[in-house]
Amino acid sequence: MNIKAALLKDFLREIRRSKTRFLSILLIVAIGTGFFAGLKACAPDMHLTAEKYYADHHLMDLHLVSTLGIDEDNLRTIQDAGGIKDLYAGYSATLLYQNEDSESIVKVMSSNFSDEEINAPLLIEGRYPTAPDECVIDESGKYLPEDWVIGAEITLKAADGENIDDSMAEKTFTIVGSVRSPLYVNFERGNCTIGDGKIDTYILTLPEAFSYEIYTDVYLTLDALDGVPPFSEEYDDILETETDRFTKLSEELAKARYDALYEEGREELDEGIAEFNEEKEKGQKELDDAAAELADAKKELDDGFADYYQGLDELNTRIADAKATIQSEKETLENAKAELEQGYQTYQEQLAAFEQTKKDVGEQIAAYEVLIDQKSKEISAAYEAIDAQKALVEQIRAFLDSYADVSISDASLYPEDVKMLLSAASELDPSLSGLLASYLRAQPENKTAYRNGVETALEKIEEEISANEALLAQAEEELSPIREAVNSFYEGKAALQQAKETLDQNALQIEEGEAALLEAEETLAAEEAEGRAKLSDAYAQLMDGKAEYEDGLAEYQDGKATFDAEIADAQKELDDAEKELNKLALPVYYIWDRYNNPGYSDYQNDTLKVDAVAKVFPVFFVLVAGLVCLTTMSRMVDEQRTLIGTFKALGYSRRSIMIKYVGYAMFASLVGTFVGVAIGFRLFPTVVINAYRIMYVFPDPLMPFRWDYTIGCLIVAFLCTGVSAYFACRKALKSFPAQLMRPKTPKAGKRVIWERMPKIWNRIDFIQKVTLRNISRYKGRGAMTVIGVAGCTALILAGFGLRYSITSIGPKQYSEIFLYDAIVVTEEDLSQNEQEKVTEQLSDIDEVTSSMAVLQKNMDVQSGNAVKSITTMVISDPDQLGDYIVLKERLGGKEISWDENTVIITEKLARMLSLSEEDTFTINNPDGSRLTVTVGGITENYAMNFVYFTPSLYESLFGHEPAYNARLLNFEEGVDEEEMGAAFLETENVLGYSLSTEASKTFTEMMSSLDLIVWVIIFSAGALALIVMYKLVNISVNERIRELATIKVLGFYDKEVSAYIYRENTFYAVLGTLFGLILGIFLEKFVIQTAEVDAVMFSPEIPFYCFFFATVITLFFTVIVNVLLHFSLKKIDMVESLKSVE
Amino acid sequence: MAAFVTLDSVYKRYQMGEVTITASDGVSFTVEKGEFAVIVGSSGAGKTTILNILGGMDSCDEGTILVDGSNIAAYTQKELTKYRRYDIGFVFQFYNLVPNLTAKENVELATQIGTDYLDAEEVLKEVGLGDRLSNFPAQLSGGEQQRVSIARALAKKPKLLLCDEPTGALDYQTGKTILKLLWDTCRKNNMTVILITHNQAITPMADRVIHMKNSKVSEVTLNPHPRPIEEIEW
Repeated sequence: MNIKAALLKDFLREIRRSKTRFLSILLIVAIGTGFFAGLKACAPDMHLTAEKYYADHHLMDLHLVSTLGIDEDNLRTIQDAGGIKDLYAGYSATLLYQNEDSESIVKVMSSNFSDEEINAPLLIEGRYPTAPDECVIDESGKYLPEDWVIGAEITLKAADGENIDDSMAEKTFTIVGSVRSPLYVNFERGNCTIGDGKIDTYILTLPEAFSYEIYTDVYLTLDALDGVPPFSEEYDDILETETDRFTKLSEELAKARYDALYEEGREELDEGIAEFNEEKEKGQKELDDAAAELADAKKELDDGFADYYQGLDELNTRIADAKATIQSEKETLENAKAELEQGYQTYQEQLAAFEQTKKDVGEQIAAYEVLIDQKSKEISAAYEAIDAQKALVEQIRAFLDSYADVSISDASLYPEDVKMLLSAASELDPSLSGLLASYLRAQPENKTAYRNGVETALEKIEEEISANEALLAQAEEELSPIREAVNSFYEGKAALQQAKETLDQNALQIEEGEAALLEAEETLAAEEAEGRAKLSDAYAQLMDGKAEYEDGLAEYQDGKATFDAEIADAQKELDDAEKELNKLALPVYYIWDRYNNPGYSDYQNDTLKVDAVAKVFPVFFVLVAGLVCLTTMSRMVDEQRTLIGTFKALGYSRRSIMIKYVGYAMFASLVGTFVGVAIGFRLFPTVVINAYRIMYVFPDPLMPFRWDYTIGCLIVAFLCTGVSAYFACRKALKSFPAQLMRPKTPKAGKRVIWERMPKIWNRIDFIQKVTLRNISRYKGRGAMTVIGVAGCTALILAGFGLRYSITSIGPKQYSEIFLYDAIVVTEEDLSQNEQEKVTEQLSDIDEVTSSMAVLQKNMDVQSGNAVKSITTMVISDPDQLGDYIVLKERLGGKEISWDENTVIITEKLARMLSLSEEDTFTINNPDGSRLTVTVGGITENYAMNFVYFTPSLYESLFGHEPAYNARLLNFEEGVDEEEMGAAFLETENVLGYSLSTEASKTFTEMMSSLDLIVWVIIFSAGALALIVMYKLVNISVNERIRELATIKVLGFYDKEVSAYIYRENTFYAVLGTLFGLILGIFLEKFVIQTAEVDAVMFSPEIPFYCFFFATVITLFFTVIVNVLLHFSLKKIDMVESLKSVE
Repeated sequence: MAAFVTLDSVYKRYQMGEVTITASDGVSFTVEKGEFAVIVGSSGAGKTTILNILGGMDSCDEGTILVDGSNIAAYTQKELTKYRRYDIGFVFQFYNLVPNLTAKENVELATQIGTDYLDAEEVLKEVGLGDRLSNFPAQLSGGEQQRVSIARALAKKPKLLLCDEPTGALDYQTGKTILKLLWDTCRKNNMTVILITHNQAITPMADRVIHMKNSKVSEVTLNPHPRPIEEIEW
């Protein structure tokens, strides 16, 4: 069998046999290199990820902006300048979007939405716009208005004092998608000149949506920078030369642009003058026409008035005539009335006379009347009796005729009428009835006799009647004078009656006349009223006409005045335009590069921070890994000295023997390194970059396998393991084979320093003595354990410290320093009145307990060459500030008192500008002047940099009273802060507000990415401590296995055997922890200083709990190691261990 | 009365892969209290196995081992440790001193865990090292180291002193002195001593000689008149 083959076989078998050792070297190398390479790769991977992202999206190298825009000629000049890979000329505008909740500042940019164009966006959702009224929105909008969703329609408006039509052809857009623009890598959207000066979000739309006639932005990519990695020095160098080139070019551009604009202006002005003259003439003519029209109107009005007055006269005359007629009629009527009166009087007199007569003859007349009545009745009765006799006579004669042929003998057979006639005839003449009865009884031939007898009787009766009639006529004759007297009395009365009736009739006539007159009067009044009404209407019309005329006149006069003023204005305008045109300055061209993009520098800075952390931490791991390998290899060689002796005795060369051990170590390192870096290159960048992706918008990280780091790690690993194996072997190989084959003489015991101090030595117990001796005996290994543990403790402490330093600043800043609950920002430059109104309205909100006005303004300050941006804080009432902001020194907590002549600055600012109390520095006033101020105090502060002023100092420095633009507010406890916010925004002139709780939360969230890195460090460090200690302790146990077996044989319990080793181990751990705590303080300081940014100060102190946790965690790992150790000690086989020498 | 140490049919087997090696194959013997017993046999005869089992460092698979009336074969690990702690003194071929401790401290290592023990210095004086108390093992000769080892074993007043080839690494003269020391200890303190050797020449000084061969006791001889070590030559 070939010698080499035997060695190779031995080599492979060795690995198989000592799997644990091989794996332990492999593992420790893997951890060391993995951690080192992994952390190291973070920053380059971050760069690479960005580089690829920028390359894919053709991020611009230069961005040209001019104060007067960029026209086509300019563009041609730029294109002709050469060295340009690609160019995009587009538009942008900064506008406002308002919804119910808030107002957002929106940057509108043009894009062609091509993957090949400069700053090509990445479509995240939806689609690209195809019409000018469509847009895509910012995908990662932290400040995106809530109602911006795909499909929504948004309407933008211009800032106060600007006209949206100047920039936009479209104002309303439909959101069709969301994109990511490579211009923005974090959540910052840049600054602007409107609103609060911070752009909240952007939208991209087609160029047609803009109304500009010239380009506002020109983006360039450069040939010279094609493929050059960003963030590299090469890039910066080339960028500088290129920027210089374009800066020079911009002078040419400015000149051209100026000329073009001047010419344009001149032309416009000339046109303006022509137009002015034309307009002036036209206006004058219009005025003259109006004057003529007015004169016509005046004449017409005058005629109208003349007509009116004439009509009025006529009416008056007519009424007067009518009234006279009525008057005369009235008089006639009056006369008639008087006559009537007279008549009545006469009538009354006659009536009285008649009444007198009546009284005088009344009785006689009455007597006459009775007499007449009586006589008349008697006469009438007499006449009646005569008439009755005459009738009876007639009847008898008739009876005679009727009964001339008829005879009735028996009286009882007489008809009734005959009976009555017989009885009546008897009254007339008693003999008559007998005659008649005889007539009746007599036969017709006999009757004549009787008839004659009757006739005779009748004739005699007729005679008597005639006599009576004569008598009666005489009586009547006698009555006639009396009758006449009575009649004449009654005639007098009737005449009187007649007179009264006539009088009454007359009176009626007068009444009728009066009524007619009244009617006539009424008619006249109505007529008059009508006439007057007509006239007054006419008058009113005339007055209206007059007013109209006067209005017309006033209008004319106004018009004339306006015209004159307009003419004057136009003249002035023209003059101004002329002046302005003469004043037209060369435009300023800004040549911006990627560093002007929001977040770009931050990203670079953050990668530098990661790199800084990567510089410090992994060194520990490599160091410790090296130490562990060294120990392991020496131990391995020690263990195999017999074998080495045998090989040597057999005649193997030193080299071929050595190759086994060095090879063993290097093989383990090789595999370990590849395993380590393969994991490290993935794990650490993934964790770190993903943590940063909370703050930055980037695609998935690129994590290539990095051969440079791998080879570096391999070299270090080979050095640590191979070289240590080499030296361990060389020492062994120097000895003779015989020496080697005997057991290595155990390291001799030595007195330890403590024994020279009997006072101590005699007092400690036996086991402690043993421990002390052992510690002194294995110094090297002890030192390694201490270093390992110290490294672990330091890392954990630094990790915790860093975490505290970062996470504590939010709460510290917003609950210990800024005591106010909210800050409300108002419009700039409010008048005194408006300011008071704001204060009043805010104080009126119930939940607000107190408020104070402050002026916040961003400025730059300078000391030496260092320029830093700060926020000035002018405190309206410095005595009350304690309720809102605590100004005190961080160390000692001494409160800072105000001095009228000095400013108070924040600690970080003091450190950055190397300022201490009573030093001076300058403030760069925006107007260009420089103001020197003295530091009166340095106050604890963590977020942002402030310079605090008293109002009087501010006034004396800046020359005007501070126009307070913010209010610090305190609330009642437990109020609904969202409602408060709404109440603030309702207040007039309030632009916005910020709640302390929100700010604190945001701060903490921002820091959470670093938090993750810290935890990675803490756990890696813990794992490291565990492995190191376990490894070292195991070696220690193996080396001392006979000793341990001996004490086992002596009857030590398992516990006691373990304690025998624990004591040492614990001692190293405690010592290591102590060293580690001290080391950790420095480490934390270093890391913090590398990681800090200008606007933030991390809490530099490390709180007690960090020390406590670092200690506890380290000791916890020590305990774990001890527990593991206990089990391996328990497994020691006394018999095997003790016979091993044989 | 039963013997102080009684082994009855003790078996010990090791499994080495597929092969079973029987290290003790039904070993039975007795040793009386105060006896100086020697187990003799060639290399691999199973002497050490028996001694290890008897010393509580190993356990047997079968059989009973009575020491002062207790069956240690049935002891648990804990009881075995206790047994080693209080009842057994061990002397090794390679001394097994803790190199980091002085002679006195090596003895104290044993005594400080016991309850009834001799003063370390006294014991060391007794073994003739009164002037080397604070020397480290590396500063002592082999014989001196073995004396420290014996002193360590004696200091805890064991019931049984077990010696595994105590002279194996020593030269002839020193070996003899050590054997004398052990013999004297046995006689003076009425200490039961069991000594392993491959050297047949030593057997005349023992009260009882147990011969072992092929993991078995081949013969036990009693020596009513042991000869002092000084008279023995080899």
